[in-house]
Amino acid sequence: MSFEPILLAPEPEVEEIYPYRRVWRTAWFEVLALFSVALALYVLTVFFGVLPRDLRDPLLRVGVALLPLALWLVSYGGERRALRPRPDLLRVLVLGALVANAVAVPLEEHVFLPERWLPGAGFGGRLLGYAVTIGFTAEFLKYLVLRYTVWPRHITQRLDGVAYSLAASVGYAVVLNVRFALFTDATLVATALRVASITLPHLAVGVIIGFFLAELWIGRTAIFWLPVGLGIAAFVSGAHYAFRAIAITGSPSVAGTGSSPLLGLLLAFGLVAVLFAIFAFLIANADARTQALTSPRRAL
Amino acid sequence: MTGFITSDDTPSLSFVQRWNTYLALLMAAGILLLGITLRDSALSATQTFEDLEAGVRAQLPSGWLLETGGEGFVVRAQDPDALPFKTTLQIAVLPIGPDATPNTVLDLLTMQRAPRFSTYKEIARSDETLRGDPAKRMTYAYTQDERNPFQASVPLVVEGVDVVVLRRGQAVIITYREERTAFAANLYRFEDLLQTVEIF
Repeated sequence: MSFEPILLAPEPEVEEIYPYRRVWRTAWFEVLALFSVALALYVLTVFFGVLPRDLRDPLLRVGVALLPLALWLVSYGGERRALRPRPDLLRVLVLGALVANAVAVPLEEHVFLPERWLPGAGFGGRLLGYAVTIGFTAEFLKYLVLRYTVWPRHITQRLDGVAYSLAASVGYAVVLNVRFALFTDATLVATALRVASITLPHLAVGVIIGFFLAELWIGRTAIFWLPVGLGIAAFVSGAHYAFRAIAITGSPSVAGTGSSPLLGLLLAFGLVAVLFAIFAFLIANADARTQALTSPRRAL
Repeated sequence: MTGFITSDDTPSLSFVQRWNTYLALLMAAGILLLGITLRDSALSATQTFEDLEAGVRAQLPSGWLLETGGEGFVVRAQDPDALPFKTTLQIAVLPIGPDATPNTVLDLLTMQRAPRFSTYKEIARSDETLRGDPAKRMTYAYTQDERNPFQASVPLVVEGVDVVVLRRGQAVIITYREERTAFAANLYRFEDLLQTVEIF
């Protein structure tokens, strides 16, 4: 006759090693670093006068335009050190940049011409106009990049969609940043603010596409799931443009023109913070639900 | 017989996933069309201008700045957003003698403009019909310098076109002016104006 030994202390649970790069952590690092640099340049220039207001050094401007890429490469270093690095991330980033330069920019400059008809439109018109022109174009191109490269082969979890969409978004935004730095005569601080207000919304809205694509592969979705995702992404993008016009262009007064570039930066940061929080919650929730459905039930 | 061995590591898609892809592509085509339609309707939106005294009614681009009753014209519309030259549409009415023809009116315009506009040069004249009436079209070009010394820049080459039609003892001159590189792209605005202008 034998007895099972009775443990006085519970058996220590073995902590499961997470083999992938933590997407939200690195994404937040990129967002906060870019926001901090733009804010620091603004404060040092406008409030403390440490940097001259008319500083227009082209090298510095291009350097600021490339900052999101540098920050992403830091995150990419973490990806390569992970136990299971996500393949083809760099390829997705390069493709994101290529479609921006080869398709989005010509479409904007020669077909949609938003600067000629949207700034004068009302809030609703601006929202709809930007959503169906440059907003939808950007998100649809990012979707195409992901859909025909890494989807669904490299999508094993929902956060993979986010990681790849962030890579495509960084590539896309960097092209717009560099074009702004090269083809305008903006000052360094204006370039930094513009770079942040281009990159942060692209990161934010890109997450929507990544989530919807990953869910399409992993979860059980409706037949119009992807069009809904694209529609939401385009709408959010259009809403950002519409609100940015209100935020940046205040009402002129005796004291000044009412222009407030800092509000534009805060709006971009607010958008990225809200969307990151929403989709982190949605993904955690969906993952927990999937795990509950797939894990074997414990016998009582 | 030649045999092919193919390998495909792409997982097969379900019905829902395939149709999501198709619908996304359809949606993109629809949105592209909607975007272009919205752009067209915004860019070609017009406002009605009417001057009962001069007897002119026309559709002018919406959102443009209108100047009425200025020296030598009934109405002048300028695109406030156009850079570096404000795209201009203008309607002028000129009293004429009984022997005047569209050609003589154009000669008069050329004589008036030559001393005012730097390097003014007539390019071509042609016959055309405006709402059943014989008319004359003249294209020309000149250079325009920036008057503000703080915005010194290379002179602009401006291209213009006039259409002259005679009505009841007066000549109606419809004019379009634009910076040379954008002239052809915006010429449709002038053609639209010619289609809508009414002289009564």
